[in-house]
Parts: sequence; C-alpha cells; structure tokens
Amino acid sequence: MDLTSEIERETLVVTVNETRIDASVAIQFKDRMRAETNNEFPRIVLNLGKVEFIDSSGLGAIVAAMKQLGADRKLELSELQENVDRVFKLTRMDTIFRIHAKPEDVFAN
Amino acid sequence: MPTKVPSQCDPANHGINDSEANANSRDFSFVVGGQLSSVREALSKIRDALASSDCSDEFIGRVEIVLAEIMNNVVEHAFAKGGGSHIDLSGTRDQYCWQFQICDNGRPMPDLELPAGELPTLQTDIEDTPEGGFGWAIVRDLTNEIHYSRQPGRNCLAFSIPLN
Repeated sequence: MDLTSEIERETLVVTVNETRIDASVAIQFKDRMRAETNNEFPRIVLNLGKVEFIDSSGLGAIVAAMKQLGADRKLELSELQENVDRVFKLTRMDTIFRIHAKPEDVFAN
Repeated sequence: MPTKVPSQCDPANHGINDSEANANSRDFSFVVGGQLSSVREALSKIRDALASSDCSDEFIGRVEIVLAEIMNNVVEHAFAKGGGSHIDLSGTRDQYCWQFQICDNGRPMPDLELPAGELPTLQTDIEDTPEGGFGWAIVRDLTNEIHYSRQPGRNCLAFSIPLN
C-alpha cells in the first residue's frame, strides 16, 4: 500500500498511489494511514485521485483512519473518481467527510 | 438476438436453461478461488469481459462494486474457518440488463436469508461512526430482483443489474 505525504500550508496531504482500496488491502491501508498521520497536523487531506475502486471494506478503513486521528484532528478527502464517489454517496458517507472535488478546492478560503 | 422485454430481466429465468444462455457469446462464467486476492483477479477479468461487450464504464463500475461486495462476503463469512473453497459466477446479457448468478460451496446465510441491507445510522458521535455494515445496502441499492436460495451444499444468489 503506497502512500506518500506532502505538507502544504499546515495541511498534511496524503496521496494514495494505488488504484484500489479493497478488502484485500484494507488493513494495510489503515496501518499505513496510522504511520503517515503519526504527527501533529490538525488537518489531513486524503487525495484519492488515483483510486479507481473502493469497496465497503476500503470505506471502513478510511472511516477507521479518521477515527484514529482523535477528536481534534480532521480528515478530508479530495479528487474522488466516479466509482469511488458512488460508494460514498450510496452509503451517505459523503455527509461525514468534507470532500473536495478539485485540488485547488483544498486550499480555497 | 431475440427481443426481450424488461420483465424478463428476472433471475428466475436464468441459470435453468444454460444451453440457451450460453448461445450468447457475450455471456461469461468464472470459477473464483476462496481468497480475497482471487476475488480481485476475477473482478479484473469481469471488467474486461464487460468492456469487450461494449458496456459503459458507469455500468461496469456498478457491476464491479456489487460483485465485489457479494464475493468478499462469501470469502469472509461463508468460507471462514474452512467453510468452503470456490465460487461459481456467471453473467448473462439481456436486452436491458445483465443477469448474474453467484454460487458458493460455503456455509449457509444466517437464518437462510439475505441481510436486510439497511444502512447503519450515521447520527452518532464521530468516534462511533460505523466502519462496516454497508455492503448489503450497496448490493440491494444497485441490483434488481435479488434472490437467495440454499441448495444442497451450496448457496446461490441470483440478481440483475440494469444497463441504465
């Protein structure tokens, strides 16, 4: 599970360099997210622009990644592809996460 | 190709007369092993089969998530602790939909019925946000006429997914 992080304007942007977050890698994803976010950044944006497919296990792993940050830190999402966006909408998880359609939206306002 | 009406997108019509179904070269069937990695490989083959049948990316996306949820569930539950070993999956093109049948030699569904598939509530504190319980809600949302049957030694699930 290849994740890379960049710091921009006090935000940690974690990019998923994989095409799938599915049941076979959900635990790895959660563990890698714990490692990438083992710091003090209050705001983390998970860039899913390369992810073509997510299933309910992958969705659960993103929720787990959010919860393991604790109450004072936020996880936001960006650049959801069509199939990923569908799963968030069907499960109404799009109401739980702040989702940025385009990269420039992440730092708007 | 025979002209069919939407009401014939009924899984009850599928899987009984295989000789007729197999007359369509776009139909497919796969045997899938009992591991999550096998499911992932099968989904790749199914995407290719549907793409070569001129299905839209949007349709293929809906099929992939449905088949993934069902087969992952089989591997993680019906096959848990050596409960089963393989999945037989077939897809048949109809005029307005694809019909699918997914059978496995694993343990039966609890109470011999499909989960209701209601979404878990999200009206909770953040730390209580559910991490699971979404799979059957996704399946039921994207399929029509889903039917589960327990047959001797195997589970069979039949359903259709509309092209549009």
